[in-house]
Amino acid sequence: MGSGTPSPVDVVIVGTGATGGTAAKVLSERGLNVVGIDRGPYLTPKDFSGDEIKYVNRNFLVPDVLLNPRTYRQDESETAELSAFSLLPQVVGGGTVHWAGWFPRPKPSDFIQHSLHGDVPGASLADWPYSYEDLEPFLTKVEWAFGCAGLDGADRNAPYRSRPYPNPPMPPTKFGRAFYRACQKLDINAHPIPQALVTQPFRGRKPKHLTGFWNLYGDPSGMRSGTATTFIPEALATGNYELRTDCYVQRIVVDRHGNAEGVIYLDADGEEVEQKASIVILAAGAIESARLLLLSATERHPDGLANSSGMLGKNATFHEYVYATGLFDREVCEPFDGYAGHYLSGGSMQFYETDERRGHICGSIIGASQVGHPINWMLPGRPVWGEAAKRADRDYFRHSMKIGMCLHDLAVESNRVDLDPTVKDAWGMPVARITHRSHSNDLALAKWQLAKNAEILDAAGAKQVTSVSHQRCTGNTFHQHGTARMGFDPSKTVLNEWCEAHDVPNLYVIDGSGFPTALGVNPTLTMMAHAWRACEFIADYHAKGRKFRLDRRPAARNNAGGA
Amino acid sequence: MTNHSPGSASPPAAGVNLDGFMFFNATEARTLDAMTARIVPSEPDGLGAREAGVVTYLDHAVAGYFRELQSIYRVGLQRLDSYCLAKAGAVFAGLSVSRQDEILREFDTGIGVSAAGADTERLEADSVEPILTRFFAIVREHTIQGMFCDPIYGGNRDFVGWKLIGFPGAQWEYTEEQMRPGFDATTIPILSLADLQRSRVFRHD
Repeated sequence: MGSGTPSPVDVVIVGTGATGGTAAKVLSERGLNVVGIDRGPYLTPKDFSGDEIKYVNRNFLVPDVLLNPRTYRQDESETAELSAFSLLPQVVGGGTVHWAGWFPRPKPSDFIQHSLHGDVPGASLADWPYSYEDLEPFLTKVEWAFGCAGLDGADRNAPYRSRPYPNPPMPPTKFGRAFYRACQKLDINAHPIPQALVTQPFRGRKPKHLTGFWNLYGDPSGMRSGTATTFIPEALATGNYELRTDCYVQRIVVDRHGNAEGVIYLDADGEEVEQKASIVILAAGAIESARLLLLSATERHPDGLANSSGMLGKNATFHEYVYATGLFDREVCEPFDGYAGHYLSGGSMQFYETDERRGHICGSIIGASQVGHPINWMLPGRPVWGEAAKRADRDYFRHSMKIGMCLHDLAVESNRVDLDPTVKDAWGMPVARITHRSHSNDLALAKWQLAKNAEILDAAGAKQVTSVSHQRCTGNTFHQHGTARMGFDPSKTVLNEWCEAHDVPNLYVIDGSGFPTALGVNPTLTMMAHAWRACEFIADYHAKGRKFRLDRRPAARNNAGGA
Repeated sequence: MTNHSPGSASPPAAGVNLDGFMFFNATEARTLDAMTARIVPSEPDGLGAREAGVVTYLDHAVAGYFRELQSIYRVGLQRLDSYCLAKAGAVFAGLSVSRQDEILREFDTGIGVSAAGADTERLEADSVEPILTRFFAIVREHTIQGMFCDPIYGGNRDFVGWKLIGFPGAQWEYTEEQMRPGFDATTIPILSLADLQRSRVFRHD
């Protein structure tokens, strides 16, 4: 690849994952001239397999922590330590390359947390500048373009949807059947969790694989939906999208008027290249997008680009996956053989909405799943060596299941991403430092919900149930949000309601960075719809020189929760 | 790499060099052989770390992917033998298995540590016990990897690990029938990555 200064384009997108891939498709199909840049290579199904060492224990997909680590601390009193916190795959397709494909919709209450709960001590809740109803058309567009399987009407409290699911769900696994039976006994509304995969011939894809290698592995079959096998090829087919891989963006360049001019990156040969563009879009994930804005500080923007509010990096939210594992008696119960079917089978949104009698606000999706593969299977408190460990492996690997949750993370201003003052990556750039302590509400929520999950495992016939104890966030879901909060007030937020930086009128951040608060569900569908919405605005308004702002009364636009 | 044919599962004597080693010398390999045999013992069914060839996995891993852990393996193995000589009058591999278990228990924190946590610069400064605690945690973690990895990595020889727990291997596809209650999944033939690469299942050309 040649260095120097390639021709200017309409749009440069940093990142090709869930949101960068969505932007590539939407903008190139609208006829804009787009360059997409990714730090990693373009791997395709022929590169993938069910190799636990390669995908789970080594860094085939994720950055090498020896070259590009992060640091983590709970609060300012600690010195941050090297960490592999929330390292998303560094490949074209990003997180959609290794995910299990949980694809639930958010609920209307997710968008009005401040209206619902007011000023919660120790938290900084906010309403979103748009509502569930505003996003609904885009949720539908993503589901139908990307491929998604679910069961219409199964969630009794599902919010309005304008179209049914494009595909029916996967058949239940053996542990899924046990989960459904237990929920029936306890009168819990259980149902298949919507998933980003196809179960019938759909847009040229032919599904046939029923496997447990669906979480953390690349998919050799093309059945699971990922941007690397759907939206990126569709963008390339327009002739308007150029993909540059193995390119590491180092900073955003701003002209003397304060507009973004383009980005500077190191190409695959290590040569510095400047790509000029009329519009710069960041879609690198909430940690790396915030880091890039901070790395782009100049004399005029000493605290980082788009940070006149001082809010950049703050209110970072990360889900933690926590779970209860049930062990079943091999003499009594048939094995679950969780390696067959799907990692995930059966879930519930029953405990999603706030019920203050539980002693906390908010709630989370729960899902039944297998315990993992032979090296890394998850049995909290298991013996780790010797005869007892061998016995546990032999007796329980086929006879255990878990019920987990994406633990909600209330927005807290002191939870944030900034640049580590001492640790640098192999290229000499400061790494992202994560400061995060779970709000006491979330500790209470984890405790309550894990007890409920244990109750379900009991009802399913488990001989013994063990739960993880949530102490600190490790970034194990890879869900990242909130570091460039969107809203109407430029003194309190970084982005406006279209994901455009208040300070830099042609700079957009379309990943989860803009989420004012986290959701109780896995965020990818919401992120993709959020990105699609922003990109339609870019194509319909910004690129045509037109202006359009939303009404400032977000709460009034909602009809949920009596707000 | 030599593969044993199924059926020849009698455990090799400690320290017998089955495969040749890239990184470890004979003494180091003998000590690791004894350690890994306590982490996943062969008793009572002949399905243990020794039969799975875990030391070969460790050797390949430390020579390559985990090269930054070479010092802690070298220093840890030396310190373990010095500690055993001083405390029990013989090197680790020369002790009875019950004495070996007692020694390892002294260094067992009960929790896994990520291999990335090993800081080689601190080796000289640290006293014996923190080093051996960290070293045992690393060997334990890597032994489990070598026990249950795909055989292409040098461990899990003859699918010893997968047979122990009933895992049919790297296959990417199960039928609905195989997922129905009542189906005996142990009848599904175990497949390795090499089997799959030889077959047409994942040919994309």
